[in-house]
Order: sequence, then C-alpha cells, then structure tokens
Amino acid sequence: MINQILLVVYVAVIVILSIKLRQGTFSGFVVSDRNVMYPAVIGIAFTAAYFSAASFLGGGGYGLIAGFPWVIWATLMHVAFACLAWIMAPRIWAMAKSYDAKTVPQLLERRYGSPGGRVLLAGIMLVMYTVYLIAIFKGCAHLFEGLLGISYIQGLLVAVVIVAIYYAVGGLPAILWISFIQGIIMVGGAILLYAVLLYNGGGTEIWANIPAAVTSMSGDLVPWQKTVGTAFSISLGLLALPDLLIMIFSAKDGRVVKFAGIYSPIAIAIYALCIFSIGVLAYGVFTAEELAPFIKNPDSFVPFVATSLLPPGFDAIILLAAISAAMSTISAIVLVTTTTLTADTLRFLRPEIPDDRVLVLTRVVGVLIIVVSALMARNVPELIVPLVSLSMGVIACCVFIPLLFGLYWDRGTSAGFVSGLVATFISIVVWNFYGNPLIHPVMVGIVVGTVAYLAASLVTKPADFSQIISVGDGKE
Amino acid sequence: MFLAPTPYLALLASMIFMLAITFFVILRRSDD
Repeated sequence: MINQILLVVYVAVIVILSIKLRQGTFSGFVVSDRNVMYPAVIGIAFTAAYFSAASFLGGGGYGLIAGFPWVIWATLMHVAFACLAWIMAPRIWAMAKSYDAKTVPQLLERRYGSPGGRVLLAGIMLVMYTVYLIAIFKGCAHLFEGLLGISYIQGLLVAVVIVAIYYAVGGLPAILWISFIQGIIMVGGAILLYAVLLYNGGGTEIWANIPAAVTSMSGDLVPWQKTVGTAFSISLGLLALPDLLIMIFSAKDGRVVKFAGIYSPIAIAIYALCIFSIGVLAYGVFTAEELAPFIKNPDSFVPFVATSLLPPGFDAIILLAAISAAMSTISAIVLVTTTTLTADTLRFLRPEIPDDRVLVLTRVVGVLIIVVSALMARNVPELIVPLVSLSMGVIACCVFIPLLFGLYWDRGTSAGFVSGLVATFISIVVWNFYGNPLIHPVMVGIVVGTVAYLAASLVTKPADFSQIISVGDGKE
Repeated sequence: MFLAPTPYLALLASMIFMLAITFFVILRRSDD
C-alpha cells in the first residue's frame, strides 16, 4: 500500500509540474527559451539525466563481478569528466547562444558550415539513442514490476504513460524541473544504500570482511583493462552527450552555467562513489552464497540489498530512486532523439517548414519514439551495462571530437567534422566485432576519430574565419 | 582495523583534489 501511495504522489507532482510548465513555442519546448535561471536545477538535472537505471542497477551490481577496479576507475573517471565538462560548459553555452543553436547537430553544423555533417550526426544519434532507450525502458519496467507487483508489460505501460505525458506537455522545462526532483531522490537513494551497507557491515570494519580478491586492483573475475575501458566509455558521456548539452543551452546567462558547475560535479561525485561502491561493500555484509545468484544477474542486486537491509517502506524509496534515474534519462533522450528527426533532418529536407509545425511534430514523434522503444523493450538481452556502454560511447565520441576542437581550435573544417564522424563510427563498430576485447571500442574510436578529424581538417581549406563567431568564456 | 584500503583512500583524495581545482577554475573566472 505504501508503494502505491508513494507512486501516486510522485506521479501527481510530475503531472502538476508538466501542466504548470507547458510550452507553446518550439524554442520554449526544446531549449526553454534559454531562460532557466537556477543553477541548481540545471546542475542536478544534468546529473539525473546522465545517470540512468543502468547506473543505479547495473553500476551498483557490476562491482560484484568487476570488484575494486570498477569502484575506483568508474568513480574516478566520472568525477574527472564531470569536472572537465563543467569547465568547458560556459564556452559551450556561449557558442550555442551566438549561433542560436537549439540542438547539438545544429550547433556543429553552424560551427563547421556542414549541413551534411548535421544530418549524419543526427542519424547516428537516432540509431544509438534508440538502442539505449530500449535498455532503459526494460530496466524501468522491471522496477515498476518490483514496486507495484504488476507484470513486466504493465510496468512498461506505466513507464510509457508517465514519460509521454511530461515530455509532450512540458518539453525541456518540465524535463529539467522533474529531473531536478528526480536527481535529489537519486542522490538520497544512493546515500541511503551506501549508509545501510556500511552500517550492517560494522562501519569501517566492513573492509576487513571483504575478501582480498575483491579489493585487488588487478580484477578477479574481470580483467582490470576491460573495467577501465567500460568506465571510460560510459563516463565519456558526461563530456559530450547531447541530452546533457541541451541543458547547458537552456541557461539564461553565463553566471547560471558557472554555478551549475558547482552543484553538478558535487552531485556526480557523491552519487558515483555511493552507487559504484555497493557491489564491493556487499561482500562485507552478505555471504558468498547469498551473492552468487547476482553474479549472473547483477541488475537485480540493488533491489535485493534494499529489500533485505532496509525497513519496509524504505525499499520503495530505493525503487523510486531507480525509477527516477530511468525516467530522467528517458525523457531527455526522447527530446534529443526527436529533434534529430524534426529539427535536424526535416529542416534539412524542407527548410521552409514553420516553427509551429515542427513543434507539433516534435511532440507527436517524441511520443511515437517512446511507444516504439517500449515495444522493442519487450524482449532484450539481460545485462544492461555493455549495451549501454557501447551506444552511449558511440554518441559521446562522435560529438566530443568536433565539439572540443570546435571550441578550442579554429582550423577544424567541415571535411574534418564529417571524416571524424565516419571514422569514429566505423572504427568502433569494426573493433567491437574484430578487435582485441581488452581494449574498449570507444577508446579506439576516440583515437581514430581524432586522427581522421585532424588529418582531413589540415588537408582541406581553412574555414572562412569571418563566419566563425568567436566565443568567450560565457561572461556577460 | 583500518579506515579503508589504500586505493579507496587515494580515490577519495583525488576526488576532493579534482573538485577543488575545478571550483577554483570556475569561480576565478568571475574576477577576470
């Protein structure tokens, strides 16, 4: 009963916020008219959108298998990339504002004068984000299953209805505010899980009970090189995922971006440390026999910790935190995936189409994407982490190279942008199937993509510098 | 009877160090 009441309150808050923040213009729907003036909202929503149910469930459970290297490398890389992302953010905001860019492919198109590159990137994002959406919908449906005692398909249906409502009504402003609230629940849930494990393990005494094989930095069941690659590929998303960048675009001024850069890295550091440590800390509380079933199915490990260690009612908060993690990511991804089709591809084919038509299409196509990916989620592979790691890594890699050089290097050209995209995508796919499994495909992609970008930029004519608007550090 | 394994303590120290450097860089910009 407590679970149902909690869910009703949760959904009521979401619906009220969506209606209050409903949008009538395309610019309002996709970048909140660049008028968000609360740094905490952007900073925490960024964190919530980045961390999905895969981090909460997969990331929490993966420590059981990968041991200490996962805790150390995943946390370290998340904090490092979060810090870098927010050091770059004021420049990204200034560039988006000066180009009046409402989507990430549009920003890069204007930076490089490359409509072809924009459509290519939009295509890559569409395919890869859809793969990712399917994985998160699956996680989310399982969580509703656990929270409400309903079937998996019913769980999917609940997830679809809630996300579709707040996406279609409120657009980015609703996504930002709801993700802000979800982010607070997520960080609270992560701290609660960490604390309850430490408490049950006897405080710092817990470390004495954890087997040496688990705390070995060379990795017991998974080689450490593999863990480093997975951690790198996932956390790279913080630097360049378009569903996060649009949140930076929505800031009212440089001051908002600056202070969002304080809230977000702190939230990311706390959340990452708590969540990624869970799998290892569990060895200090549970016996090897109790943990054995979760080595095969790590995604169900976090709900197990919650139900076995927390008093009734509190485990619902953990499930709600995981649901929040899933929904905040789904909503932001649906928005950027939809705009790749409407604002990027459709505008490329029919530039004369008016903004209000694009807005209607963005609402309708977004709901269609939600429904289609939920339908595809009815039957997907068990483990979330590797799937997510590759799809997000591809997008992050494809955006990161042209974005970074576009911000700090004037010599990059349209040919460099397109070659970088093609080389990154192909090298990741090829390496994934034929390369050395100890080296993560995304690591190969970032090297090959950068070389292709630099080589093609240097052999082609420099861009007309009068076209490139100089960007500062986001100062007013 | 120890606080935490060395890699974990090193992780905590590096996290605090990275956050401190970042905030220093971000906040210093306003003085420009």
